[in-house]
Amino acid sequence: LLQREEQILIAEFKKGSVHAFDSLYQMYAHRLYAFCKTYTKQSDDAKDIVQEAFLHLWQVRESIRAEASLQSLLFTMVRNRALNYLAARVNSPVFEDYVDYANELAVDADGDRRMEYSEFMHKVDDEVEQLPASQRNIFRLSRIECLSNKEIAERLSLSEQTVKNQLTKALKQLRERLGRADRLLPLFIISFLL
Amino acid sequence: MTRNNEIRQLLEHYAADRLSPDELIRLRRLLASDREAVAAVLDEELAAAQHPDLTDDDLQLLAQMQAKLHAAIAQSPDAPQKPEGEAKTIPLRTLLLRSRLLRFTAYAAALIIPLLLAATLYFGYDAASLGRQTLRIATRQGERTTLTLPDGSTVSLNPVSQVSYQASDFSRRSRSISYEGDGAFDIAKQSGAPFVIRSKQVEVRVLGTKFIFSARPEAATAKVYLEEGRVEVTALSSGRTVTMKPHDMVEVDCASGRITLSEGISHSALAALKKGELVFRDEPLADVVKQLEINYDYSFRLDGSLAQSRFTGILPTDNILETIRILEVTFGISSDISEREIMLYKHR
Repeated sequence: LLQREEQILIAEFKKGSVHAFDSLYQMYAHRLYAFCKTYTKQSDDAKDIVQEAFLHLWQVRESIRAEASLQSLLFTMVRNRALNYLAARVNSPVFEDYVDYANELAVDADGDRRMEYSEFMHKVDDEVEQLPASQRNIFRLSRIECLSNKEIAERLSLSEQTVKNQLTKALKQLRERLGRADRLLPLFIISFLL
Repeated sequence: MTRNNEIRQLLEHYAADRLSPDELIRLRRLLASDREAVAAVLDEELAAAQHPDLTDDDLQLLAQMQAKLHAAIAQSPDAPQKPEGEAKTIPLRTLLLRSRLLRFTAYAAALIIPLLLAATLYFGYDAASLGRQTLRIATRQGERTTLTLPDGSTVSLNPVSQVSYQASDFSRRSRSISYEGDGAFDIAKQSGAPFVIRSKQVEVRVLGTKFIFSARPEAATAKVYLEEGRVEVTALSSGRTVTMKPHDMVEVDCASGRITLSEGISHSALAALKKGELVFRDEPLADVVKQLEINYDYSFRLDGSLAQSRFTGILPTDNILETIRILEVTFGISSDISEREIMLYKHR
């Protein structure tokens, strides 16, 4: 019977039934969202992934094969997006900074409480705000958008050396600020720069 | 530790913000070299998490998302027609256009006033011919609508039904429309002006009343169910006439013009008919599925002897699954549903 309901749902969905769309949303959106949030750690990003997947499924509804399950299509789309997000996050330099930082902190505080990634990002954001505009810009391009020094230099029409100098200054200041705040001297941020 | 267990543990640590620098390196390596395996673990995770704990904020976000998605799918060019009764959303583009239009209003007024004058003259001249223009309102498969006629009477049309009339058909002394299909009528009282509904084979003459009239061109019989008031039904081929009382049902055989009157139609049957549901009294399954095809966008196939089986009961018109369940239970049959076709057959 479950299979029959799915069959009808697919047929109705393909015909463009908003009701079918709603049923599908009721059935899976919560799960998918919770899943994404585990890996994005940000409500908005989780929402974007799920929303995009539902929208995409709707747009391609006419080419869905009759025997394909809507659930597996939807789940695969969300899983792929979540996986890409995870890979981008894990590979980003900021994340490495965070892991190092959190581990240093944990060692000193007997490992009782870990700093969450979002907390770390908040802190970094706050400190980045304090940087001079040019340093702030270069820091963001380097750490958040993961551009190389060369790419940043091209984009901002600066010499690579200038970019490097500015970044060093920015990182030094951040290190001092974050370090002072926690009475630590984390060396992490600068560790993979040079 | 197996590969999958390792991945599971790394993801768990990632989720809990507990990755060590060493684990980060391993996770990076895995994502680069064996993304498939990571994907498989994520799939398991997703399949396992059935009832997530969500905060109120999350739930609110999900509700917003649904609203946003609705707006988005309603705007896509091949958006389906909205079922009746659903709130209308005005596309953003229209709103923008409106505000822009507003700015032009002042300038436009200067132009519009002379235009209006011209239009008044034109339509005044044209009024006579407008009265002779035929208005036709028709529903397609799966579509319903309710319309109000010039005298305030309302007609709720079921799928594949139509009403047509000319403005001149409505006067102080007479009211008339042409009709085909299935629908519920609520005729406004107007003393001295009977209301006449003509289908190909049947004419129904009423004063003020509520009834359901089914006159499908492909059906062998036309039916009238009277809820309130009094109506007179005439078979046009034989000239025979009957007068109906409330809760009577009249069946007109289209070929012979013979009229059969049944009394005591139940409230529940009338209520169902008014909701646009399908009410059957001892009718061949072949005719039943013909009605279903009109109401749902599926074609039906009946296994051999089933076509002769007869059905009495009420079937919904907005829930195909429920409809099939009722038929399955009634006849002890099974069904196969593909994208556009439903096959009903006896158990093997």
